[in-house]
Amino acid sequence: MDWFPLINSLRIAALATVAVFLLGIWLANGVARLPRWLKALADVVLTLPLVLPPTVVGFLLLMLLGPRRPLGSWVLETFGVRLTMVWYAAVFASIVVAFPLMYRTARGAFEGFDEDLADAARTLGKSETWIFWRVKLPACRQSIIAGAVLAFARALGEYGATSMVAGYTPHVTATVSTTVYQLWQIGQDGLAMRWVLVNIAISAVALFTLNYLEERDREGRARR
Amino acid sequence: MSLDVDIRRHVGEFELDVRFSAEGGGAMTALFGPSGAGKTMTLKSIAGLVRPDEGSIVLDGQPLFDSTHGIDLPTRTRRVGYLFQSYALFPTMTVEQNIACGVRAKDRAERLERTAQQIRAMRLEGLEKRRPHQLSGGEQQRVALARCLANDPAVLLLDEPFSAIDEDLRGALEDELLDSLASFSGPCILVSHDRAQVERLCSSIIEIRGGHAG
Repeated sequence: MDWFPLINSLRIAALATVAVFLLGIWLANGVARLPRWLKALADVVLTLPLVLPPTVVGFLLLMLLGPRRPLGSWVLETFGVRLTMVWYAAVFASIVVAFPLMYRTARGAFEGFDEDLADAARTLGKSETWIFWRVKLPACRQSIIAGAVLAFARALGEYGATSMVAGYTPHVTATVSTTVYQLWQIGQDGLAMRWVLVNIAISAVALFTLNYLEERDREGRARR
Repeated sequence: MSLDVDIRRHVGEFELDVRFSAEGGGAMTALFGPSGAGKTMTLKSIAGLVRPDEGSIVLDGQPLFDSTHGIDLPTRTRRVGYLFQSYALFPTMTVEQNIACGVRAKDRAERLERTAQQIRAMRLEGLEKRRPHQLSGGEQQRVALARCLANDPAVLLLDEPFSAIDEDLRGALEDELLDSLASFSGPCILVSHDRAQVERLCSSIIEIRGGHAG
């Protein structure tokens, strides 16, 4: 069995999770501070990829990143790098699709954050940066890690947008999900089933991790 | 040492209009009134956590806030010690780390020394490595107070310090609090809705009702 699709899927999901982790925390913290009407708008825009069909996300990404599209052609001319039909194109697709999960989890955690803690730190002479890194993030860390696990699981399961922006080329862009589709299409059901089992196993581990983290978070809250 | 407060602030239908002075020198000043009277809002104004619409807050002749001169010092430079009703201990830090957060000294050895000093003064020895959720209400109160005092505040604000304490323990803890504050010489304001308590603890009582005092 050729393990390339698994390695490719894992590196795509890992890179997307890192990006989504940072972006999600940054934007969730920013949005929580916006005035109410702007918050509602930002919230809709940032959550939209969660409910849009992956084909819509894929189409919009192609409109942006394709070799003859604004961003895609600029990057191609300036750096000589293609942004579609390469393995890392799937990273962009996974980022967009997994982002809302991280964003919403982090936002929920930040909204539940006890502002008295920040105020207490202010009276002690601490800066806003100190408060964010030393008090707010640690207090919300379990939800934030849970959001990252959820985002990773979602990124790993990405198919629709990925198949549009990265396509399926064996040993180049093949992921677990696109490989399952390809094998099924050419009638290799036995091999497809193996990849299905691999996929189910990894996703189940991610969800067990998630449940464990949420359980711990609940216990932590009950004790406080 | 004295703190002079004369502020107004509108929030929707609610109007805060308070005017009073609090003297230092070991005597506590009570800000007494029912819940919703504006006690906490007054404390937050003094600490710079909320901004009054107009008026002035003057500490020993130095304005912390003065709307006519456009003065509004940020909270972190006001040197106001604030004991929150919930104590607001940092949940992910140990007792020791919480108290160390209050110490202003930059030098590591000095920080450790000042932290140890507060731990001794508040009789928290043996609890250094505990986290806030592993402490009783009275211990949490002492940690929060230690963190405030380690910060070397010029003013101390105590917001309902006994509301998280079981009723039958309050008497003993009131005495403890007075002991702990014996060395503090700046103005100290105690917010409470319990008349008997403020009469036991405070030498002057300011009554606040419906946002109005003084």
